[in-house]
Amino acid sequence: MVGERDLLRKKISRRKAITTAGKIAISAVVAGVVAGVGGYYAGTSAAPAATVTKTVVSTTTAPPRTITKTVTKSVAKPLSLKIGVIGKSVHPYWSVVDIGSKRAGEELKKAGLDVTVTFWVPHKEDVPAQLKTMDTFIAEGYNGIAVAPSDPDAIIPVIKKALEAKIPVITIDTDSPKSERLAYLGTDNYQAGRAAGHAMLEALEKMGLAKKGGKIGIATGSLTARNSLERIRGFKDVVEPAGYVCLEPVCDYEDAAKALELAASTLAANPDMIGAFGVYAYNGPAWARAVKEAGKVGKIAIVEFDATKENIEPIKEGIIYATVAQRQYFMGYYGVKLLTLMNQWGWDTALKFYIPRYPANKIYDTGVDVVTKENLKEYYEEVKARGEPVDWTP
Amino acid sequence: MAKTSYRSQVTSILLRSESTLIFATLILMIYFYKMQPLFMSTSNLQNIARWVGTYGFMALGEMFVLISGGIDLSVGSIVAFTGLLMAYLLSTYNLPWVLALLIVILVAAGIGVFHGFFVSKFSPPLPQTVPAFLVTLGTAMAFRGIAQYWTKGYPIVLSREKFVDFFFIGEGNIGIVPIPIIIVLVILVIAFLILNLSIIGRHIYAVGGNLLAAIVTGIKVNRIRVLCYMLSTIFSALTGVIITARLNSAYPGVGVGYELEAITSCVLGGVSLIGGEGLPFGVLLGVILVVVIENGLVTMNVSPYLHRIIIGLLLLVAVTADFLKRLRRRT
Repeated sequence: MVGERDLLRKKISRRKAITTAGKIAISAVVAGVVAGVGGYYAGTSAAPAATVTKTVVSTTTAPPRTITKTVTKSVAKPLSLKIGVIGKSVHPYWSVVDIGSKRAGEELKKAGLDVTVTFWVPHKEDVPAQLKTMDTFIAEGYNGIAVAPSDPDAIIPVIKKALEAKIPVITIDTDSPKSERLAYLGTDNYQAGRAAGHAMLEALEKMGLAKKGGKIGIATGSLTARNSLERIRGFKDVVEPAGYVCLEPVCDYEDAAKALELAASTLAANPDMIGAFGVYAYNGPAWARAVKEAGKVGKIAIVEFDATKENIEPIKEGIIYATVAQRQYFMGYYGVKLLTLMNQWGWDTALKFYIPRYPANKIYDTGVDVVTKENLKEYYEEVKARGEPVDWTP
Repeated sequence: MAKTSYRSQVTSILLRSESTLIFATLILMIYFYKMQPLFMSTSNLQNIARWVGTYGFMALGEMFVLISGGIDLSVGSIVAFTGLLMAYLLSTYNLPWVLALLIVILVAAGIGVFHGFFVSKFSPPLPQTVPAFLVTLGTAMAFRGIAQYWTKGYPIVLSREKFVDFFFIGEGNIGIVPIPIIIVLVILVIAFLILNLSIIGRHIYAVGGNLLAAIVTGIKVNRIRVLCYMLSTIFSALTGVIITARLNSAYPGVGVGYELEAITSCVLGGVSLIGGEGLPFGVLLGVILVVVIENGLVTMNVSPYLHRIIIGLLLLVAVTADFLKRLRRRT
């Protein structure tokens, strides 16, 4: 539903863009200068000495560099770009990505580039709906798509189709390594899991719970999603060599009520547990509730993922030791900027500029923040400064 | 058809399936206890009781619809929606929680009436399984959507200082007995009174058992259907409210797949999927069995990949038993 509203808004703005196409053509001189190198690059690589006077944005099959034609040879035409960002579901996580993408769009506009960013998510994870939206974006002649595929394999043909239509596609948040996507921007979940593991070791040490063979419980919302599996693998790879034993993970299929039930059952069955790891956002708070109710605060070290109010409150209370916060804001932000740059400079140049060791490496790890009671305030200031919605205070 | 003999026949069959159920549950509990003595610890039994209480409401609600020959697939979404509505009324308007609960129940009843109305209007007087399926699936999607759109996925968090009284119904105990199981036992008695000791109950069995006969007898079939769907959504709303009280916050993602859990419990408890059979007591036993299995697998530290296989097989066993029972009766 959000998606529809966004699409509508985007349609309106597109219509507006078309009616003002004339004005754009006139302001081409000014904007072209502002657009600078990129515009110059686009201008020179476009058709030489073009005599076409109308700017047409809606031609679908050709890449923008060849359709935005210069009025006169000497003046570069500003790029008018439509960038689409496709998320996975209606969720606070994705609204941050939304804000990051929109912020990038605003900054580019201020720099004189006509970039329209459309953010779309289905109301819950929905593979066909994502594919349909990709198709729509391709048909509407978008100039770049950043997609977080709910199914990394199902998305492959659509990515191929977009690339054939000369639309650059990158993946964010979730990769589709078998596709021809040009790059992946997101959390390396294995590394994030390792970070959680190190936080756990630190917590056990500091709380005086460190003991060889101590049991650590793991709770997650999915046993199939790559991010969940990678986080668990990374976590185990750190804590198990340190001499701890991980219990079989419990899975609640993304149901917060079930998560609490499972956390309580795990605690009841393992009175000798010394650590608990929450893989999905609500798993940490569920552990915290269960630990508190069992009267075991201080006897179990909890490490969790994500930084919503619910995650932060138990940290403030000292029930949860640390949370591993993703930087999803930057997936949207850099995603939009990278796609814009690819249109300005050409795909390879932009990718080489952005991604170390491209094309051997196509992955850009946005990294994580490990937030504890000590650095909570710093983290708050940082997030606040980026304009992310923060519903908690340090 | 003679109603009394029909009823006694139903009762006798069900008594048998209930004793099997008690037996199976006890065997399982002993097995889990042998494997992991902590299964029988007070805290774990409390845990089990609390969740039997929480899921018990929606299973009892589903029971009414199934007995009347329908099906309600909106349970999970109604749980999420009503849980959110409760949290919203409390956090935004600062209503006393009893008043908020009444409003939630009224809204839930409204949704139930809507279900019953459409199911009746779309299919007089023919078997109505397909429309019931579609209508409730439709509302299920709509209310899940509303929940997500409304909150943008954020949970509504309630502050402990203000709502500690309300939280008590979800997380509190009387002595060592969790509140939800106490409420569900009260509801169980009410359900038993409606279903087995009132004329309305007899009509519900008749509508589900033989629709045409019920119409011929002069039973107001549509009214009965509306009532059943209404009870189902009201009871689902109770589950939603209890979950909100338990979690101290309402999540839009809660409740996915609860309808299947409710139906599994009902079928295990002896409710026939084609209607006309079932007792509240059996349904509660079904809920207990499902929760005991889920909990036991966790306490035994069984690989989570196996959990769903086991619950799925359980449903298959229950459906097969239901089928065999009907087959035997026909011959």
